[in-house]
Amino acid sequence: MEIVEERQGAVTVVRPKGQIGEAEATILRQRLRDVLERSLGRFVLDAADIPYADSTGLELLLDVTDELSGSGRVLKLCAATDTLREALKLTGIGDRFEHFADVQTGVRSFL
Amino acid sequence: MVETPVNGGRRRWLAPGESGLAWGGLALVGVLLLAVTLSAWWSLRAWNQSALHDAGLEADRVAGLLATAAEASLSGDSPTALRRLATDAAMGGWRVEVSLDGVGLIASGTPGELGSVDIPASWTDLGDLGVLGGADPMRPVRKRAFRVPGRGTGVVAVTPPAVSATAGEPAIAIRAGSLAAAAIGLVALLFVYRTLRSRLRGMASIGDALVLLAHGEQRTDVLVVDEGFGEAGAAWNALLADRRVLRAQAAAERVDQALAGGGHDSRDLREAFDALRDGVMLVDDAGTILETNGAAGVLLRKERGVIVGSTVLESLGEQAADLLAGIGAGEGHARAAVDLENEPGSEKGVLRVGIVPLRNGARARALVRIEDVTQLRHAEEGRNHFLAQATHELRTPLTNIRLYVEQAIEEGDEDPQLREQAFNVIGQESRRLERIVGDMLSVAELEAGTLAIRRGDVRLESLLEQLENDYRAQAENKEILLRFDLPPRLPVISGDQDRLGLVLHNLMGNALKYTPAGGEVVVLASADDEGTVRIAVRDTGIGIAPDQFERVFERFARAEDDRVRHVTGTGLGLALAREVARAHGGEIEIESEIDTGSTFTLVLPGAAERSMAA
Repeated sequence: MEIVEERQGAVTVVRPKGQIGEAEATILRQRLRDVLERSLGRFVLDAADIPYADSTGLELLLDVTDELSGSGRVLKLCAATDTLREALKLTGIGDRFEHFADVQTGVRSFL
Repeated sequence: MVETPVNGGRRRWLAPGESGLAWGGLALVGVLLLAVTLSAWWSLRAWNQSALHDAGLEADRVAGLLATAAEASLSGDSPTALRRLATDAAMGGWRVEVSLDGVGLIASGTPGELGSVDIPASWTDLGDLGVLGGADPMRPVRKRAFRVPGRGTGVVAVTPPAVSATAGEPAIAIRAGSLAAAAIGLVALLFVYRTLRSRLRGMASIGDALVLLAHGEQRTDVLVVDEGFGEAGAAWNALLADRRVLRAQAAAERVDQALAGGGHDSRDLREAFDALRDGVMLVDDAGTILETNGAAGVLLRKERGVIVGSTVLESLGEQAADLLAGIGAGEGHARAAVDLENEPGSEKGVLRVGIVPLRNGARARALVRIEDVTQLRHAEEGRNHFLAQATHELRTPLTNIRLYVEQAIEEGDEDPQLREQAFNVIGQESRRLERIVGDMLSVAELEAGTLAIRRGDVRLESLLEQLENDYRAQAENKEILLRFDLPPRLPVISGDQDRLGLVLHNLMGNALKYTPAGGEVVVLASADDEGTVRIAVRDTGIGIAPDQFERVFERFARAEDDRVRHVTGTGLGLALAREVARAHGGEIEIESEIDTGSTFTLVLPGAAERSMAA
């Protein structure tokens, strides 16, 4: 799985490319933990290129936002595809995340 | 009401809990005794049968001998020898009777039983009968027929002495031994039972108490066991006493915490603390941190357990400690920015620390609030830099315009060529101003989240022609060869013409800016079968290190390369270019090599196809 990292100011934008299954979840989980550690939690997940996430992928997202919640934060999901949004909604975990229409809005939320 | 302790004070033959074990033990003893009895009976029976069998065999042998002796003795005239044998046998306990068929008893081992008997010359002859009644070895009486040739037949009956074992001494010994063993076993078992009974009762009582505890019984006076149950019972009661003390202490602590929290449960407070994005700490008079939240742990990169108990000086540094000291000195609220130290592998952060005094806290004297203002600081720095650069960028074309306007006014009438040149420069600088203002407006839209794409048909040929016209003179002035390597025909694509023009102008402007005199800038364009349009701007400039590829797209980013520190710019061009490209569903790609040059390619997937479909 290709994961691109960008910096917008002090905020790290993590952009995974491709669906999140079991194999991808392991890689992405490690990367997000690294970013969380490095950036003091100043990061957003650009979900524009995630066409689909299976149960393992959704569990990963939930784990990350749970980890963040201990410090008053939640995972910021930017530009999530309709499929991903629907999956989050159907599983009833959509409200565990902050949703932004695009990356810029997500990044500005740190101001 | 005082409850009766578990099993305490109740006198029963068997205590609850032990009854199963006790009855089981007794049943086992009964079974053992029965087994011993059966074993003794069986042994006795087997021994008796063996004795009978042996006696029967011996009687058979004696009867055979006496029959032979009777035949020999009666072959003569006198039965005296036969009678002597019978008498001898009787002395050994044997009972012997010899009778002749048709005559009767002629010899017996029992004194007085035999009267005077005359033996005839011949008597009844029943033939050769052999053994009579001696076939069953278990029967003690044996009879054997004999025949005296020429005279007649007779019978010898033999009974062995004392063949019944049940009446003998061995039988009595066996019976006595079995009874003695059973009695000793029973006594031993009763002794062990009586010895262990107290302990069994204690364990059973503790077991009952555990069951009650598991079912929710919390009253200690119900759960205690009789002290007479030994060490185990005493230890159990001691545990219950400790538990009662601990429960009381825990309840007291909860009350204290609830009171300290103004009536709220402390867990709610902790939850609320952790839900805050800002770090929060409660500090006492000595500067020791009493409580903190999860955000503080993340911002300070420390575990909560490490922060609590440490001092403000240790966790936040000298500046924050000084602020806290100022609070203690009555200086009131204080705020300060504290720069976090860079750690290897981590990103720089800027924390703003605010300290608020608490006048009525039980132990806490101040609340420390920690905000992560890194992004805010970054944005402020970027805006300041942008303003400075924008001012410079605006001033340069404005100065040129003013100078050429003055020149045209003063000398234009006399020198038409000079006037035309002045108007050209004014026109170029005006377009440059327009682009700068356009960039600034786009930045404002980007910041406000309103950057929109107004799609329409875009003629790439005219867009690139305009690009060439705008930069041809600038390239010549800088002695850079500007070349457009385009296919004969380019498609009309779907997109926002102004925004795409902005992208190409920024790519071209950067290429010329970072390419030294004598270099070359080439613009290439292509469209594949899938409708993807690629427009590349390739230069022979200073190049970009791979680790800077992402950084050049950051807003307000300035290159860290010493070779370009003198080059001015808003730091917005490439950031805007990429945003516009992405808004079109495309991307800006970079290929670059230090000191060789760079190629920035605007990729617009499907742009030509959409246009054709439309």
